[in-house]
Amino acid sequence: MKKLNTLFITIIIALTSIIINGCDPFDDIYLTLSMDTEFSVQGFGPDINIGQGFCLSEFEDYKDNKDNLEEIRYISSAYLTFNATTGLQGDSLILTLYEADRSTVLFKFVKPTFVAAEYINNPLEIVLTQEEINNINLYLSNPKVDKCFWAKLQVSNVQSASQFYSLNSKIEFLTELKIKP
Amino acid sequence: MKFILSVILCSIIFYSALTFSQTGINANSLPPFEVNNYLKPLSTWVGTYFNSGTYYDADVPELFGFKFSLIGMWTIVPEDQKTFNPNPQLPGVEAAGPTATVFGNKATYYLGSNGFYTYPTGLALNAVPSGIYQFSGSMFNTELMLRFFPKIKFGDTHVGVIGFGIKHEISSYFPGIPLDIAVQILYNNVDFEYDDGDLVNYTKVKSNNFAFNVHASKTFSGMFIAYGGLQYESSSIDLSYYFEDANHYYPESGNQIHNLTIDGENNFRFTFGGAVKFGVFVINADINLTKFTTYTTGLSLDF
Repeated sequence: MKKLNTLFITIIIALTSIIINGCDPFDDIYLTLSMDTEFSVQGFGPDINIGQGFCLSEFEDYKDNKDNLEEIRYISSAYLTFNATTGLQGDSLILTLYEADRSTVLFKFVKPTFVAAEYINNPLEIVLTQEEINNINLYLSNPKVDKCFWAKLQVSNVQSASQFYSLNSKIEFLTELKIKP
Repeated sequence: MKFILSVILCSIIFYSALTFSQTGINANSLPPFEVNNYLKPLSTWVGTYFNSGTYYDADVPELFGFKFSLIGMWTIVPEDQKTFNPNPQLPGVEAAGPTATVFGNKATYYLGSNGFYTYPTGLALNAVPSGIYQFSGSMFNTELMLRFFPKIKFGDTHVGVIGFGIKHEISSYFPGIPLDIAVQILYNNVDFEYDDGDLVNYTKVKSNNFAFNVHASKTFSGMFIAYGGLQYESSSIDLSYYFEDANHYYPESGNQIHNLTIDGENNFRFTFGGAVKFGVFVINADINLTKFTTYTTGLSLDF
């Protein structure tokens, strides 16, 4: 009787202990943060050269979770044309991402030929080398500190149906935020 | 708010100590065929939750009996319930890999014609702590169990729960049997509706859960009870939600209310546990082996 009593109480205490202390109900939390930067250019001349800055703190998911961030990791990026002058094309498209100082290059992506209309409703995935990805991730380390970027779009030897051209486009960056539960 | 509200309410009904992550979820961005996969584990879990803690003794008094029980549960979320393989059903588009279900923690993405689409993440839970209360009255070896929470309004949210079970001790017909044996039928329903007047935020969840079990118990020294049972169960969620197609990938189904039924993966469970009686108080604990392994403990006032 006493043995049985002890056994039951031990089982109940063990189960309660497992339930209360044995497992952490929360797993690590990951959020995918999409960051857009838009380029709008109108003009004449043989080259397009436009830059745009943005910071992590401009994005709500970052602001909301900043204090609990453990890591930010680069996932992917893409270029997309919204609209462009008919026939707008160039010898090459160069997309460069810099640190906030506008001189330290995080990646430089070159597409040898560029026809703006090809990327309307058909984004161009920006494929980076592992070294470039590592550069971005290194810059993103210490995620509680806001980081700013300078994105640059260059097209050389621009041609279009008319002398005056316009190009509205964007680069979208995907990152993953690891958040302390 | 949106779905987080429904998930929270389904999870913390009565005494749950659960605190969800600050990230929230946004299942409204999923088309109906993806919502089904995303929320299927929730449907299974709700069924597991409502069909747990319904007995600790197969002995049902012939004369009047009454019980009030507080039950705590700890449900383990299996790894295979944390992800699913998404299929955006867009020509030439494939997702980058498995994505989180409502319980998962890592979402995937795809590159569609208008840019990246990122799937919602989940609640990042390894286990779900929860609780429930129930009343039972018995007579003529038959017990009626009741779980009830009147449909009331919290702000823009209406929520109500009703559940009942009928149990009959079949061993009362066979006095020579050394065990107490009973059969039990259970039905639980939860209604949740969120309507702040904005169609985009509208969410309605109705969960139906059914179970039938045969269980047996043996009482030692008048105070120790060992029990176990086999239960068949089913669960489903009727969901109405607004599919917000921000990227305009689904012109025919986007930006409108959808109604769908999400069946849980509940089938059978095996339960075994023990209870100790201290006068009118009973403490019990059991393990439920089913899709979501669940540990329950209960404190009952048993007259």
